[in-house]
Amino acid sequence: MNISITRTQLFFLIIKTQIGIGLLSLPSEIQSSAKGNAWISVLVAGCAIQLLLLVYWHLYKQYPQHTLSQITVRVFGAPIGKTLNFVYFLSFIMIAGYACTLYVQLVHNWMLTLTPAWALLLLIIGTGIYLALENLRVIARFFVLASTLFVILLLVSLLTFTNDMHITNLLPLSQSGMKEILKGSEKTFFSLLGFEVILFFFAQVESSTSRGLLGVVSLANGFVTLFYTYFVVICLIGFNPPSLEQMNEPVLYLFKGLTFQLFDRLDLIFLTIWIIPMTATIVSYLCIAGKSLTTSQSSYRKMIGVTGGLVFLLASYLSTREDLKSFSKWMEYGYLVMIAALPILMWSLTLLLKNNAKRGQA
Amino acid sequence: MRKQLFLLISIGTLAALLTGCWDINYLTNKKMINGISFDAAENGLLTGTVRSIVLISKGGGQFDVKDQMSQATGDSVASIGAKIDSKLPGTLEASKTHVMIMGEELAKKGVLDPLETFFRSNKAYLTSNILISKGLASEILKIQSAETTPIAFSIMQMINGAERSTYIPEHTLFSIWPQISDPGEDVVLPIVRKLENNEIIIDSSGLFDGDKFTGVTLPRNESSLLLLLSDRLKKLAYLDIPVGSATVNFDVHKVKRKLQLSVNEATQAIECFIKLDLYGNIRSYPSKLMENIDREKLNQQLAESLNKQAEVITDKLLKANCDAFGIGRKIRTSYPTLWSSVDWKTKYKEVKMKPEIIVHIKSTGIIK
Repeated sequence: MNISITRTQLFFLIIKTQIGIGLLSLPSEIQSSAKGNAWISVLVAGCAIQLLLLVYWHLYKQYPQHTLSQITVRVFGAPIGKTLNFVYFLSFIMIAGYACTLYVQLVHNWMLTLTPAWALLLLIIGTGIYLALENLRVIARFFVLASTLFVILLLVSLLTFTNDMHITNLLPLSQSGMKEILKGSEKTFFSLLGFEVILFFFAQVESSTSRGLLGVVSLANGFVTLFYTYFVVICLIGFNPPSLEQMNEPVLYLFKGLTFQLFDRLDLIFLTIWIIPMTATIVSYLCIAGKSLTTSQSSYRKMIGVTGGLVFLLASYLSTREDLKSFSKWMEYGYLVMIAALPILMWSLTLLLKNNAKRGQA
Repeated sequence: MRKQLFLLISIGTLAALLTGCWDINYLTNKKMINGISFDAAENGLLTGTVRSIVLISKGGGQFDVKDQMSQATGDSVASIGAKIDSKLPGTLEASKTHVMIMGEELAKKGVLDPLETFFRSNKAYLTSNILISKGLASEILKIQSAETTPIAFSIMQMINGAERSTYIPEHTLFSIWPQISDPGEDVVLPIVRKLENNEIIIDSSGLFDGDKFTGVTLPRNESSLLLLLSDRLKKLAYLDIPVGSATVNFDVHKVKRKLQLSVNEATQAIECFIKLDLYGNIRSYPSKLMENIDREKLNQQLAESLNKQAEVITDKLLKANCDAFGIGRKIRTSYPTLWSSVDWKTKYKEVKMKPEIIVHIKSTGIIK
């Protein structure tokens, strides 16, 4: 798997994975705690992720050209490392399955109310597998191409300014305290997930010696954070607090109020375009799930098939459940341990080991 | 390579075969509604009246658009929908409803409850125009328009024209929800009424207190001026301004508005200054054909007359407890401590409104 990607492709890989289904419901979720300061919550969450990215970067510098699954083996030794990799594999499946479930719920609520979940899942995961089977360069190229859609989405979102907008909804800044803002950030953090893919993709970036890599990653994080902030702000000023709290997907609802000579129901048009970034997220997770257990391309391809099947089973089970709340809480924190606590632990361990080695030499 | 081809073909066939298997909706099986009205019925029930479209083929690919009326009474909008659906061939579809009329009595009880189902449904058309009717709303929909076009289309065109010349506020189902649910702002909706000779007219607007219609209405001229005072000029506004014994018709092209609050934190007294500059031209000033108009003097006279009207409007607003200018919103953002310490609904009545209108005549037409 020595096929490399460029830094630009890495940038698009990250933003495409991060921007997904979470954004659509984000504004009302943060609004319920952070009120009009919801946009600050997003920025805070972006900063938290930046710190985590720094940890990732330092960890990667200790083990250049290593993916996460190789690093775990190097740090903890083969038995523990391999077990951990399997846990990573399971958690990526969890998150992909959960994303698929949300995806199906969204399509049910907004467009296809009667289509059964399995048909939608089959289409989403089938397309996902089809792309994930390819090598990373092909995936990255598709992501770059599909990123042009963000430009369209941004342009469409400008149209919402023809609605009544009240910038004063953002004021006063004192309407929620630090605690509420942080609570909002916590929710934002989970909808910004996807940056962890760099733990696997770093190793495949060409000429990855310079500091430029960190710059690319930070740029991607900055872009995604601002993108989210922008959408949260237009929802905050487009609706007022009580109505915003009632909506499931305020970002889509915002487009429901638009009508033009030629276009109607922009929410449906927006959602149709939005499906592509949502699928891209699932492709990324399938890909890293495959990479977490395998190293050669041929076994990777087999793995993707298995992964896809597992994601399908999990998502079909989850979509029969009435309430996902308990599952999502449990899963989010478990996942947080995997992508934040463990890398930090590994990083500090390597630092300790290294210091010991140095002392030994002296 | 063969595997890829297999995947491609299987995904392709699946996509082609599965799409629309479950959610397919033929246009021919739908009954499109283009106008709905709701009235309060006895015992807290609702009466819903719909106008649905009937296409009659004239041959050669041409259609005559006719409409048909049905009515049902039930305890909620959804159950009325189900009843009407059983009366009509095809599935009832409100996805292109252009006009929604609420009866006066129902509006006085609150408009949000009957509308709830439209906000909830993913098919509902939230950009439909919403109106309040004087008397029963079904009476309006029952009118057979003289032209062949369905009545709902005629009403829609009337609304669009009225909005363009700024005498009724521009509102859709989508825009009223945030505004009504905001405690710091109240909504003003257009009113449609039926005249003696089976005609309908939309020329006034009704003041709301929360989601309840207060029964206070503003006639055309006052409604227009209220919109100007709220800085909502669309293309043009026509004002009829009494000056002495004559009436001057003044077209407003541009407005500059400044709304300032002065709040005494100690006594909690709120004063609201609205400074409005109107720029426009004289459309007509009867009896002045043979003499030049003294612009300076007329500016003064017009402003004086408009200020009187503005005071009538602000009095009506305060009496109806309708915060059409969104003063509450401003208080909330600029004086959060005051906002949280008072009950805005009762406090609003004590606000002192100080409108001040200045008129600038830009032109007197093609004669002096």
